[in-house]
Amino acid sequence: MTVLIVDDEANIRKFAAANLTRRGYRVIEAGDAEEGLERLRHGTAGDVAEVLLLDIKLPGMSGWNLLEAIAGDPDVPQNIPVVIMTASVTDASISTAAYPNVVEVLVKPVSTDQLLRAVQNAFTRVTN
Amino acid sequence: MSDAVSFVHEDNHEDDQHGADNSSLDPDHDDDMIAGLTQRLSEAEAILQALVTGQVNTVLNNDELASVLLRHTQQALRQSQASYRHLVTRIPAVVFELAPSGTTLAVNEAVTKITGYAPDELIGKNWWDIFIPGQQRHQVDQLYRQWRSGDVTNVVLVLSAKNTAPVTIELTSANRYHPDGSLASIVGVGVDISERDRMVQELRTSRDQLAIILQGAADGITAQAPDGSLIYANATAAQLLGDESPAHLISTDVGAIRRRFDILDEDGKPLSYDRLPGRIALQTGQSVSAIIRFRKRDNGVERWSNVKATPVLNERGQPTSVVNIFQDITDIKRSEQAQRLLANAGNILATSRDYETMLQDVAQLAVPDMADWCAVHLIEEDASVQQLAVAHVDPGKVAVILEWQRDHPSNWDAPTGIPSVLRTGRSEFYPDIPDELITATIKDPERLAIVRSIGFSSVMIAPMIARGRTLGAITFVWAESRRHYTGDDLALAEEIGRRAGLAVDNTRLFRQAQQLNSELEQRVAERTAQLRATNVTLQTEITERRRAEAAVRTLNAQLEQRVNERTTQLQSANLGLRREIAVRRQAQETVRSVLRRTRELYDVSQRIGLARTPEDVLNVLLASSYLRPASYGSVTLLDRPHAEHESPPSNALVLVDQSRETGRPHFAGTRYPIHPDSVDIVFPRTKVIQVSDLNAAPHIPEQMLSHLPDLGSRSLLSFPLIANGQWNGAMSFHFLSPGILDKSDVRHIQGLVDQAAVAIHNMRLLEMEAEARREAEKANELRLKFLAMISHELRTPLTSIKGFATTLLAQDVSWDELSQRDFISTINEEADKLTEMIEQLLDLSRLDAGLLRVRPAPCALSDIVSAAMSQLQAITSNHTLNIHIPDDLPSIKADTQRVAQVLTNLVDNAAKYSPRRSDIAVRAFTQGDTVQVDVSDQGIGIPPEERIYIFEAFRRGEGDSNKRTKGAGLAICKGLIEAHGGRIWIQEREGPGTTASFTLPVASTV
Repeated sequence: MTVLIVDDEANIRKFAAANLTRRGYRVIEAGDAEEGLERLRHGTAGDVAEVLLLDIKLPGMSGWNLLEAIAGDPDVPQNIPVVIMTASVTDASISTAAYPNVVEVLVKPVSTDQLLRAVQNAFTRVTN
Repeated sequence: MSDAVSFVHEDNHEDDQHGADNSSLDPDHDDDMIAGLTQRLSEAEAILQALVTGQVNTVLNNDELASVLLRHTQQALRQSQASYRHLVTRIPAVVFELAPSGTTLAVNEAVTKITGYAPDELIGKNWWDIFIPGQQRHQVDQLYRQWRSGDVTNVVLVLSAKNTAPVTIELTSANRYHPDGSLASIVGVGVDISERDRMVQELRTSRDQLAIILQGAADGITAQAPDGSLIYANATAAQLLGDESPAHLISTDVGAIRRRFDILDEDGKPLSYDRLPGRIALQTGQSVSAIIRFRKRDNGVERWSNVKATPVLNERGQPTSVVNIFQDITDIKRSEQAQRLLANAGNILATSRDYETMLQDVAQLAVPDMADWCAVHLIEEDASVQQLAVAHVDPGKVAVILEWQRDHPSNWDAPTGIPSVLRTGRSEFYPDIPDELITATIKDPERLAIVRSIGFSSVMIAPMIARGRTLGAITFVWAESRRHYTGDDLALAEEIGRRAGLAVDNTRLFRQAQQLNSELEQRVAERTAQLRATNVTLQTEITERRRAEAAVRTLNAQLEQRVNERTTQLQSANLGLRREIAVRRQAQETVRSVLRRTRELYDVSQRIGLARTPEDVLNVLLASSYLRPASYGSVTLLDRPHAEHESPPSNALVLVDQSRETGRPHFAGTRYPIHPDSVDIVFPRTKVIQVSDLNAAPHIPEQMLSHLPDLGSRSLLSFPLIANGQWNGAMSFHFLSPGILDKSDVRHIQGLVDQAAVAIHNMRLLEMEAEARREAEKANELRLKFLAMISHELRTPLTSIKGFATTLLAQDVSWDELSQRDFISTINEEADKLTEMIEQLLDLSRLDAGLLRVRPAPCALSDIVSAAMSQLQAITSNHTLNIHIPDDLPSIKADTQRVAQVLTNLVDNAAKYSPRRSDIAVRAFTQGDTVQVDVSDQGIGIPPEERIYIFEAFRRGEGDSNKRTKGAGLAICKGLIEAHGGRIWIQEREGPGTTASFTLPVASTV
């Protein structure tokens, strides 16, 4: 069960990664959208992200751009469940109807509990 | 003879043997034979004669004589037989001998040729069994009995032939008797007359046909024998010659026929019998033709015939008969006659003046060719009917009639006859007058007797008509001639009647005209006499009048003089009036023009009120009648309204302008320089300016001077735009000709311009308001964005704090101590970040609210730097810090704490984004009345496009790749420096790295 975390704040990545690995998930980290996209494309065996934990306000390409890029990319699994985790209330209120693989939107700050539940929920949507 | 005949048949060859050359059928031979025979017979006869007369002195004894005689006779007989046989065989007729019983005893070869039967087939058989089988038999029996009795010698029979058609045979027979008188046989000859019969039939048929043709011919055809008797006549001939049938005619004595007619030649002279064509033809043997008139004596009917006589000649060229053909040309001749009559009548009617004579002549003309009697009746002018003419060949008869008429006046009311024609104008035509008609019409017995004695056979009464009125009637009567009128005759009569009528009418009209003419002449004479008398009277009057006229003229002259005097008076009065009217009109005009102006002013001001843009306002003014002569108009606005005392600005904006000459704006959007000396000279502030000659005016800006030729402007009228007591700008008008405008016009324009000024001012206010509103909205939007940004920024450190806190609190897992410390450390770290952020935000909000206070005081930069040195060194621990502050740097007016804050912030920024061990330099120097400080590093640069935005708070997110722009720090720096009255910016420079610069004002020494 592999999760890809895309967030530009190292400490937030650390918080998410620590909690997830502690509970048995495998975690891949990316500091911006481009890196995230790369990771999604070139996941080697055992390293393929099954769930995406995505921040919106990122340097360069935004989280939304990444989702659009996924939608048009044949190398990326299209149905990968996404949990958005953003500090922007504005972004959190944007409709995700255009991104049907977005499972949940969390507004920072989130508790460990909230995080774990969201990721767990996301994994139930993983179609193999 | 039968023996002789049978000899002929049985002893044929015996004869041949006997030597007479009988086998040939040569005619010469026959003649010789006959001659021989004749000779022998004559010798025999001679001897007999001698014997009989006893003149013979012969030695011959009776026996010798007898044998010589016998021999001669036998020879003669034999020759005779031979000849006979010859004849019989050669004759083309059938020679036969029949027994009394009817059996054929002998028949010659000719029968074969004629009937097809050979003699063998016939001899011994009953002849009529073969030739007349069947029905005719009983006739034949009778015939044969008659033959036998000798009653019939000639008969024609139709015999049936073998294999061919029946033949017609004419049989001539003779009975031969025995010495005892009984019938021995019947001999005969039968001739084939079939051909002849056929020919006769044909002839008969053609003769019959000819007869039919001749009978049907329209012309009369007769054939006369030389003695004049008729041998043939066809039906037409019979009719012409007054006989009931051709047969009767032929049987009539020719003399009797002749006596029926009077024969006349073409001209009507009697023709002798010998001179008839038929007789001449018979005599001369030549064909003759002539026109003959036949008048039948008993009825007087005359016919004309073209007779052609052709003689029939025999072989010697002698006439044996003559054929006459009578072509009846009566109708043609009659028609010719009628035409001639009409022409003659026409001549008479055309030439005569006296119509009484004329009508008599016409009546005479009609008789006898066209009538036996002719009468003319005329309706006189007094409406009575007069008989003007009665004509007949025999004047005696005329006299009788006239006398009778005298005694028996006519009844002009009779329904028929002349009265009817006179009434109705329609002709009456009685081609035939049977006695019944006469008795029916005329009741009076005396009249009846007269009429009958006249012997009317045909009557025509034609009206004389002219101009639609019946003037009279002409009556034509055939009586003793017994002729009858035809439709053609009636037409002729009507025509004559018409012409006669016209002639009479013309004559009458002529007479009338003449009469009128003489009357007219008389009247003219009378009138002339009258006029002459009148003339004399007039002359007298004229003289009188002239005298009176002279008197009048004198008076007239006096009157004129008076009139002239009066006229002069009136004229002067008129002049006065006119002047008054002019004045009044002027006043009216003034009033009207005032009204017009008022209306226009009202109209223009309304339009100004409705205008939306300054351009509209200018156009409205240019369109007004006052500014029609203007060739150019412009609106120039100061950047802001200036109060009375304020000095003028250096320039203003030409908001809008329009040239009527070029049809376009020239300076719109450009700045108009305002020279201070030009105010109220060429640029109005407090009063209206008129420049009568732009070429001579001072202070006209160069750019305008260069355009003057295009604009064609020679003079200027310019008004200040004043609103709310403040000077807003100017509205100017150019004119093509030099000079100034009328004061009142200027006043009026001024009024409009004042309104325009207010309108434009209001527009500006509106614009400003709109702008302010837009700004407020934008600021609002920015504020909202700012708040969102703050929210985001604050939440970020909080996420780590909350996150790690809940991580540690989670009960489902436990963490080792190292991790625990790590997590708590991070919480602390993020808490500090949060605090700093809040501080910055507070500063920013204070800045925004204008509450950020700086307390600038004179101080030295170097002091500030020294005070902050330890902090500066701490943050540049990984870098090389170089500080260059010149000693002679002037004092600056600064809040030391805040300047230190700025410097530290910039150096911190530089350190954060440049590589380890790289240089960070701080340099200060004087720049005019400020001190500039540059902070340079060699790190990642800031893209030029972002250099402006870097000082905005918390700018990050979309498209922002540079982390240097994070945070609120630089925004605060900007606020702080600007609060000092300085500037802060990122310098443009080549090479990697960034140089951030700020300026501070130099402390004034006062």
